Amino acid sequence: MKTLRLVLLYMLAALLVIILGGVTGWYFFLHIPQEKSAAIDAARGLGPSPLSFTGGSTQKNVSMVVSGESGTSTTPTPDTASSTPSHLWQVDKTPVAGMRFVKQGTTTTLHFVERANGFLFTADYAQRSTVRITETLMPKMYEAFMSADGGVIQRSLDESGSITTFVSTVGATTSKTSTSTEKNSLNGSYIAKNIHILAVHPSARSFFYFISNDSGGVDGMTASWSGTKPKKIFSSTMRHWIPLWLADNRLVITEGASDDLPGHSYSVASDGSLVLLLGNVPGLTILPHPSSKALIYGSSMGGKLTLFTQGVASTTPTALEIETIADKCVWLESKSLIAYCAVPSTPPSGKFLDSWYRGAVHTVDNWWKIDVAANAAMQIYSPKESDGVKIDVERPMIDPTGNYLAFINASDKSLWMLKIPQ
Amino acid sequence: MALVKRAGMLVPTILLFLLIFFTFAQAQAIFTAPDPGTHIQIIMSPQYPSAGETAHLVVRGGSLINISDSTIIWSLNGTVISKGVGRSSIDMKIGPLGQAHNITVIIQSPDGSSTSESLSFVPTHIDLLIDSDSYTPPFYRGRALPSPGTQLHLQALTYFKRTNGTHIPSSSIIYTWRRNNQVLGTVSGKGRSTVTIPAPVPYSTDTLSVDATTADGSLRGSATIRLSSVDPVLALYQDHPLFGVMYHQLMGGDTMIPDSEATFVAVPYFSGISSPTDPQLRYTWTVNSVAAPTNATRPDKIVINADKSDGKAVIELSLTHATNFFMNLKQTWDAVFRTTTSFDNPFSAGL
Repeated sequence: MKTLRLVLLYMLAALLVIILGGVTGWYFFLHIPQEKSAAIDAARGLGPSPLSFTGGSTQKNVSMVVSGESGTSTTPTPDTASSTPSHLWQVDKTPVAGMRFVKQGTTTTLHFVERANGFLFTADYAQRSTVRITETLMPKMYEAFMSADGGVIQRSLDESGSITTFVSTVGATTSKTSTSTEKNSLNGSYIAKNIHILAVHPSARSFFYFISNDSGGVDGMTASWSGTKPKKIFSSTMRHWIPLWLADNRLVITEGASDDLPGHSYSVASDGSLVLLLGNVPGLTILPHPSSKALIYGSSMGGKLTLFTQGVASTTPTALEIETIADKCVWLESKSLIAYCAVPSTPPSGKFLDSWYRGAVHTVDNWWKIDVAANAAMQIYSPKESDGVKIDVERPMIDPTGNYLAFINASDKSLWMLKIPQ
Repeated sequence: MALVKRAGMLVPTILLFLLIFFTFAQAQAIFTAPDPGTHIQIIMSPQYPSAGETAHLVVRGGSLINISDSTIIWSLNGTVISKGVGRSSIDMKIGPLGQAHNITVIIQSPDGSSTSESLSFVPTHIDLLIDSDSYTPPFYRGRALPSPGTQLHLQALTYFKRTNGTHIPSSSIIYTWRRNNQVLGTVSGKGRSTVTIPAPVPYSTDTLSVDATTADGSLRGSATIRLSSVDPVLALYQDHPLFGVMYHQLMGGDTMIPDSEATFVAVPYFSGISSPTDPQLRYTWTVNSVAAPTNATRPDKIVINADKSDGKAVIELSLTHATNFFMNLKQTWDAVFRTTTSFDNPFSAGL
């Protein structure tokens, strides 16, 4: 009897040790990392939002009427990375301000800036991981542009609603002993307010922008990261231009697109004169080839989108049998006239451009490969069919090897990469 | 009595005289502009074709010319470009800027007689650009559309090149602007390549055109557009505490808000304002039919606090302008606040 009591005592003590050990292990190995992860997510805009508002009236009276969940969710797209196949990767589920493929040595990585904090990240497709590079907090960045060698431009709104533009470079780490966890600072300064729109040079540390002038129009200016005095290239009484700076150094400006309204696109000569590239196209969106005279352009007229291609030698455009806009296309960075376009699975109707630019409509896109020389288009990937995700592509980019596409989902500003199926 | 009799004869005499006079006068009009029957005319469409454009040319003959049975020869700068019996029209691709185009048509009748006519021009090119001073929010990538009460900006980009290769600057060109064929005299003239005029009034479509010519009339061009005003669009976006204004997610019907409190900002697209905080604007907000106080510094914003509960807020905004009476916007949105998984605890009423 005494022996049995002793055995039971030992068993109870052992059980107690096991339970205590389990609790300790759970706390240190599972609970604390979860808290850290939640804190990081919250800082990036994924957790519950801190509701501290200033300005505006506060209204507490809301009805008892409860409706369904139809409509647009303002939450970021759920992380579907675990269920996505190898081709598609949701790089960042929070809104991003901009991205760019940057070549570092022999490798090319995707750099991007998160909208909530302005932090610069790199993305590794093979590892499906992201690493934060900078530690300079820049809240509410609506747009970000990057130079080929580490320059960053971030654009936001100040309290009065004016557009701010911060031009910076990634500085050295804040610690003398560099480790993988240490971050860099962004060193830069704010330039003129209310720069309407901006385009970065594809290889040099310079950029082009439009800013209002005293005549009620705009001045087209070039500037560099070094802070030298901006140079006026030309002036225009038309205020709504979309600039593109191409790899062959051509500066192309196009009237902001609107359905049914004729649009014109020009190449800006060195003396500031405008050389017509394409004109009088209703609802014109355009993407010139970066190093040749080939073009992809779209028209929106009478509720129908049409995408055209124009080769190097020919001046006669060819209409493709896909209905999309040039804003959803990107050229392969080579002499071959290959482009990739995101095409709405259901052809948009009505005044699509005006509605899309306002965020009133979103499409569900499939990726198509366009061979301009052969006037051929072929669907290569359907995120919806393959992954069950609906992506409305904007700002597509392609890496120099032509293997990866990066793009923003316009419906929630999340960042995605697609390994182009061969 | 004799006077009456004389007057009675005078009236028929005058009527007879008038009848003879007008009959004679009408006959004179015909006789003074006789149809010679052999006259031919070349009609080109468009009247001033642009470089690279395809023009349609038609030849018309007088009553004595049987075009359908005649051999018609079309020549450009001395080179025959088309020839055939009854070939009364051709399509011709216009050459580059600065290239003289001398078009000759010879009509050879079956009886052996021939008639010719010529047309000469140097192609030009005009781009007619349109913009508006209507409001669009920051980072908007589309065009500002004209609405009633806003101003239209038009610019004629002219590409005029003489046959000797010299380009003619816009400052040397005479521009004549028209709205619905009425010349806009105050904005037309030498070097007036850009104009600012009021946008079309509601429910009308205006034809806006510009004719451009050199002082000597040797180079001419024109461009036309038909344009209507649009109704301003009153849009509402969430102003997220972390991400800022969610311009990419327009509030629609029953938009889910996964927070208990949210700020919303109104954007009056294409309205005649310079800023949503324009002091001439009058914002009137209501939430679930209860008037909400308007913030003095940011009247375009409203904060709704759902008090950690779930439910729907029907947001209504009326927006008017102190001087622009065309601007009278009203819109309603449903924001569904959802912070919990169930809806069993609806909102308490009251501000």
